[in-house]
Amino acid sequence: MQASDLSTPISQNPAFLKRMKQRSRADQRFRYYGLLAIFIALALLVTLLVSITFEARSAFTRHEVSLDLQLTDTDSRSVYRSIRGAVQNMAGDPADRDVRIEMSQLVSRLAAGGITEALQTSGVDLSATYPVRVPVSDEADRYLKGLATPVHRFDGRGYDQAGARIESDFSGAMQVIQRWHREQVSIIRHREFEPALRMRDGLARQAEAAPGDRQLAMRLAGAEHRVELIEARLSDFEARINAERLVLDEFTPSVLFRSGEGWMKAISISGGMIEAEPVISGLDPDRQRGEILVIEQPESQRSIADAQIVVLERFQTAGRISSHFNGALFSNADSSDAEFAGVLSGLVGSIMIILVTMGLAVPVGIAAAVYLEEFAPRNRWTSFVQVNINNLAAIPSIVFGLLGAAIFVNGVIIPIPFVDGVFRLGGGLGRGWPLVGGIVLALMTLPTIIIASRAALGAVPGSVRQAALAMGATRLQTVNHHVLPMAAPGILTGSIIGLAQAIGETAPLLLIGMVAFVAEMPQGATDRATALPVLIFQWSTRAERAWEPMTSAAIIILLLVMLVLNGLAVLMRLRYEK
Amino acid sequence: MMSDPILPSAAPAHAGAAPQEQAVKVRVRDVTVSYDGAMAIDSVNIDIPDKSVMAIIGPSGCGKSTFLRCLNRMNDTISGCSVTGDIRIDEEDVTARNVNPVMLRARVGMVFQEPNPFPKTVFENVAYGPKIHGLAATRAELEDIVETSLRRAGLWDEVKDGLHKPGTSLSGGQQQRLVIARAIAINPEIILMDEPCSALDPIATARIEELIDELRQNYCIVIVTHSMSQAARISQNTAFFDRGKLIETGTTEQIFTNPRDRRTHDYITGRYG
Repeated sequence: MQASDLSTPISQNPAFLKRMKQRSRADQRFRYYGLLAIFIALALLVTLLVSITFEARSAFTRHEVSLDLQLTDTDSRSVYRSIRGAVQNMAGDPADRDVRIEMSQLVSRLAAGGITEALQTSGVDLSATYPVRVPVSDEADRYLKGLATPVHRFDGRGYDQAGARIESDFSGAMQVIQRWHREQVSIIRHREFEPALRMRDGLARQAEAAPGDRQLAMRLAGAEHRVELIEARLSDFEARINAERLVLDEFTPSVLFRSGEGWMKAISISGGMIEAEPVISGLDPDRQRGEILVIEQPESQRSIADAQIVVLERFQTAGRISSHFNGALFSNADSSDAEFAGVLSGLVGSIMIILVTMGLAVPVGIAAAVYLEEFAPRNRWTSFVQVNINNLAAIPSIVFGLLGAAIFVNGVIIPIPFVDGVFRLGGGLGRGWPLVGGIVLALMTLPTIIIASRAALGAVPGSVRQAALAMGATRLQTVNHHVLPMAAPGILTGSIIGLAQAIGETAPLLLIGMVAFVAEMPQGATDRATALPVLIFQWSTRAERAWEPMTSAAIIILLLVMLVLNGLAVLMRLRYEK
Repeated sequence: MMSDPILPSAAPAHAGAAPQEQAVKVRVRDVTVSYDGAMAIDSVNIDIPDKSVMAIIGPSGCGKSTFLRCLNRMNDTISGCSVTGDIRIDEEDVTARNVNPVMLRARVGMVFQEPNPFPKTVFENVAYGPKIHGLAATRAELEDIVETSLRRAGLWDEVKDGLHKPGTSLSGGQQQRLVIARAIAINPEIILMDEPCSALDPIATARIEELIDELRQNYCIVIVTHSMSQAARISQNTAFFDRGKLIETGTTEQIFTNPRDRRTHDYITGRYG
């Protein structure tokens, strides 16, 4: 039977039945693709949120140490000296100046500030000790949160001591150190040795092909040397994996031994004993209490020294370390010290910027959209305007920053010909003002709002306009009474999308001068300020590891601000749609 | 009085329903409309009598709706549309530049094909016109106008308990009567209806037709319709348009029983095209 035979009923036509099957399969496939796309988008979103929250969680708490200060005076220098003294006292008052400095680095540099203020308002008896709680430095905080290095603890009770030798069961510590060596071997092999080998072999082949090339020969010699060096290190590490006894230094994990008040640091280790040097005297004579700490990260690769760890552990044992909610993150302005830095200045700056942006972009945008959609004649001129508004929406935000800096901050300087003078167009506003930021972001947001509002106005059925006009309403009445209220949800959504985009914008703000470090709270829209995204950008570039969770925490705060903004929009939308 | 040669003196469609000689409400002379240069209606001359219904019939695209929109200058709101000629309501030129179309539209109400109540309450829909034109000084007056208008549109009994429900929640026929109530709430002189029943079922259509027949006592009504039987039922005068031209006009009885033009004859007997 021919498929094209029109005498066959369609339900018995084999071509139709075949095509039908294909079509339903295509339908089904399309549905799966859609589901897959949604799943991928959701998975990415969840991954992002989980990883940021995970990264940020440590920034929301902060460790503090309780100290009993022996005050000599109430000025901040004396207070700081007393704080350092109290910490050094816990370290057994070391004589070495470098160690003393290390100890004073355990507490925040800025710890004295708040105490001094409190002292000067309340007054204090200098003869008594003065109990305070001081934030620890960010490196100490990282250690206490377990972020600086993995620490393994083993029981060391019932040990024997003979001078520098301590005999106990060190097999657990030994296993950790051997495992660490095995990991190092694997890392060196994969990340250094194998790439070096490939490079050498590649160069060797090239040199074979071009025997006369001296430069190539030199590079080959260098590569061979490098392979030898790595090989030597590798065999050194490999030899250590199964060694009976290991010498410990700042390039290997550290082993600390505590008993009572005393602390020792191992310089060599074997399964049954360590050779150690004292850090703090006072090992428990009963030998009942003993603990072995293996600090896995070598001392040279972490920014907290063994001696500092000992002091922190002593504070910890004495119950003087406590963890608190990091209120400074929300109540402080930016600071160069992570433990005192907060997002409040950025938040205030961002709010000021967004208020300026909203005040400018929303009314101007809606008015422009209403004019273009409801009043303007459709001619070449208005379509030119429309095309350019669409183009404006596609301009990278950094260009708006450049424009803002040129027009509002610096001004455009035009030399006047034949006269010795210049004409200055614009300028006069300060660098880094929220006012300028708001104006620039308003320019950036304007096209988004205009396009969204025009779409919303265009979606209002013409019958409503006709009904109102036929009733004798003026155009303005038609727009105000009927068209705008019906378009309001769409306009609102567009405006919020524009503003949310603006609040996360960084590049234009950097270009109008919001790059500087601003530690003060902005007093108004015409004061140097910073903004949340700028703060995030700056924090992410700071060197200390403590800024990593701080950056993530600031990102979460920015996301929360957006969430609140969007929630508000949804609420307003729901109210309008009723 | 009837100086136009095309228009014979208007005659009553139903015996005793209208006076023999009706006053001319709208006088249309040489009206030509084009959209972006394309002619839509061409030199139309017609007299529309007061306090009666004039039906405008003709095939799709013949310019019926365009003609209707000339009478309240809704064509002004369509870009690219140009209207020339002379339209007089009560001998007053309404096409002149200095005539405010807002003023004109207060005098000439309009009901569209699709019921288009505002997405507001029933009360707000009817009260809108009186509000914008400042016809009610107090809330009580406004409520009075709304009730009267809804009563005259025959809708009061159905909506009096739901004045604050959205107008769009009514049925299609009720919506169309609501729109008529809205139009008559400002007491216009002329009501234009552009196929008001084409989206309605026969029962709702019958209600509207009944209503139109009642409204005829007070208003000049011009109705565009595709339904020959509707034109015959409700109108006293009929005009037949074809391809932008007014072919023939006369009393409904004459047009339907004794058309003078071949095309009119073909159209009403269904042999057109």
